[in-house]
Amino acid sequence: LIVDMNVGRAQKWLVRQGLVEFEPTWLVAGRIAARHRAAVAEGVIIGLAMAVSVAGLVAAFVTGDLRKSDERSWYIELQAATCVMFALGMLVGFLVAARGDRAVAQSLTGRVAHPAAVGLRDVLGRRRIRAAVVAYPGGLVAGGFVALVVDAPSRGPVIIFLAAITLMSVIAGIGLLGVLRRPAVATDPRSLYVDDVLRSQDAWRALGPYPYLLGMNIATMGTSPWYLVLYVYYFGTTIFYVMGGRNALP
Amino acid sequence: VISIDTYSHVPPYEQVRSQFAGLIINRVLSVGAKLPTVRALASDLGLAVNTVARSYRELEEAGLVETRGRAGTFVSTVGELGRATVQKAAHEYALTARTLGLDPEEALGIVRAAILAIQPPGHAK
Repeated sequence: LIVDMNVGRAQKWLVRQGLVEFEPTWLVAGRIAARHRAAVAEGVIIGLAMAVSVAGLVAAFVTGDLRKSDERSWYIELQAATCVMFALGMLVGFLVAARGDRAVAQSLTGRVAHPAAVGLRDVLGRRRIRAAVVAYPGGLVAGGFVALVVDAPSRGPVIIFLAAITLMSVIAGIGLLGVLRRPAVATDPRSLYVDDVLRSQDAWRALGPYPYLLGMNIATMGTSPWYLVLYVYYFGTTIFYVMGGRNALP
Repeated sequence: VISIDTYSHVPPYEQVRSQFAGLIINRVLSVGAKLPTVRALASDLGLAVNTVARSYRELEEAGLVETRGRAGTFVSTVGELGRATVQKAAHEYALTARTLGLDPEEALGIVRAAILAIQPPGHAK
């Protein structure tokens, strides 16, 4: 029954990618099943983070702390923590998928590989690289600028923003490096093409839209007009993520 | 695509070497194309690093690829020149065969026999 479910899931995935002429082999089914497990693990952590975020919002609303700038720092920290939990969920998902891939790879007898080196541009494409630059280094630049220009009492949220985006950058970097360096899990040209598609999707997932959520949350917490810079960052990141996520392959 | 036939009597390093040589000679890999790192290819194909390193070393000795320090291994221009040399030799052979009145099929048969008579470099060692 589990095998049938995995094959069915692989079949649906292939259709979604437009690879209708590809057979849902056990290799593809195994890898898609690993990604399904990863999505479940990631979903549990992100669901928990969202529950904490909503609970925090309700608590801040009930206590009235949201309206008092002196007493809402705990809420800002909570929102930053939930954003980091999103990023950790992404990391857990990546690790679960990688583990599944390793198990599938160990069972292969024949292997194939690309004769030419595969670089970041091949995997992500220029559009997605631009999105990542806007989201991560762009976030650090925007946050750093706001931290420099705002007065000390209203600096709290942007410091949390900077710390969270730094952590997210590290997690995204580790994830991306892992996707780029992982061996191809393929036995023929078709499964190698599927491997390319999965690598591209995993790389995009590793970059995750979490800085976008972070920008949205933190920008609303600031009391200085300079926090408008973070709104610009938030909108910029949104646009680039939407544009970058349009295609399955770069 | 580079593949390894685990049931073949040809050693894996020779399989890798000959496939790369074929791709370079047939211009599937163009001059300046970057080859995967030894470690990455070994990992992709499930081979030992030394096996792939030996293939790369032999390709480099044949002048088909060049290593540019830490930048990696690239397809060299020599491969392109080698192809041109073979084409020139083939053209001269075709002219000679025609001058001597050899049947095209017979001329091709001679070439085929000559190629089969030469052992691959991997077997000679």
